[in-house]
Amino acid sequence: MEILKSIPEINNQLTIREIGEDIIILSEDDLEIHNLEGTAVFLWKCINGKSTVKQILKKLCDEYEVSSEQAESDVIEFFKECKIKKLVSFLHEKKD
Amino acid sequence: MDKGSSLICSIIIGETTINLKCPTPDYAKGIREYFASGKIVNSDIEIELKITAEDEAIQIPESLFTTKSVQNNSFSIKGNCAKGHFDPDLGKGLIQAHHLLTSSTRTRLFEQLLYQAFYSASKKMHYNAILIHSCGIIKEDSGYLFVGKSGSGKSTIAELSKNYCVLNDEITMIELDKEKPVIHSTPFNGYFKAKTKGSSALKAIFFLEHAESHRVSIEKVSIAVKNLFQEIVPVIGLEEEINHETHTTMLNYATIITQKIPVYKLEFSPDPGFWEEICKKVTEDGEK
Repeated sequence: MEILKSIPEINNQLTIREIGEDIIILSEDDLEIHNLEGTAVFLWKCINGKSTVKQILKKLCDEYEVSSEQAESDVIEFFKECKIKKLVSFLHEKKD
Repeated sequence: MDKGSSLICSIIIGETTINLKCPTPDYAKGIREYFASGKIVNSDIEIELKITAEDEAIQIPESLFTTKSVQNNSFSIKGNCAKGHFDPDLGKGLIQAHHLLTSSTRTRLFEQLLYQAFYSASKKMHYNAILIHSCGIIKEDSGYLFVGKSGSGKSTIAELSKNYCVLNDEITMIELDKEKPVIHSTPFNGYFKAKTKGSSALKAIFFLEHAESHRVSIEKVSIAVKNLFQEIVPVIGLEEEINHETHTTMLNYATIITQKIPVYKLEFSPDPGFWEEICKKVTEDGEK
């Protein structure tokens, strides 16, 4: 799937706060506040502008000891939602 | 009262005072009555209020925050219903409002300019305080804040708490200079008219939700920050417009408050029994 090969990057028009174990994101675009909890926090922290969604999926599977098949659809859904909410944009994976 | 002072209405909010210079003595009398304003005191800032009745087409927006633009300390509201200026160094300014904006049905919208005047005064006096859409109540020397949007039950809570000290059912001030946040009454009006002037250290915050019965549950901190942020009156003075920094400031305030004060969700039905549930829960948590 195309999104797995893409590199997510956090949009710079966001104010981000770590509150306890959660993350709060204020989007300047629509003034919405978004809450991230649990595995969403883990995924968010993996976004570094270098790792592809597939690589992030692998990190999640290693961390939570779940299979890629189990987690893939949830991870894709998370990143699709982040894109719709304009929290991330996607770069295509660089080819060597 | 001499002619000059008969035009003045002192609006006191916490430790800040705004002297509003009205167009006529009768207008000033009406404003004094509306805000239950007492004698004239020395002010932190002075605002001259001019009311216009020009025939030009105007539009009244829903917010005097989001439709405001500012250039060199002068502001204008989209739709030509208000404009003015404020000099933060002199602490003096002007609000020129169309009479349709100040008519009785729109008083609460017009008050938004006074909220901004409050923030102008706070900044001038280095007073660390915010206004929040909430019902503030003092019970047994402790302050309780009930937060929610219009229709969430703030006025109902005020009405059901008549035996205690109701500070306000619409806009309460939170002062953040002290170790623990302090809530203050404000002159801004909701539906509950028997409010009392006062202040108290804040003990707990409750987000309101109508329900069949009473239930108090601790709110997740991140949800509390999100909900609180949404109810803070935007922190801009008359001479400022909303920008990215405004929202970051509001988010910071919401975070600071929730780190210092326990935040609960209060599901309630319209009877005063919710106080028993609140006291039980707050006492239980306090003992932990």
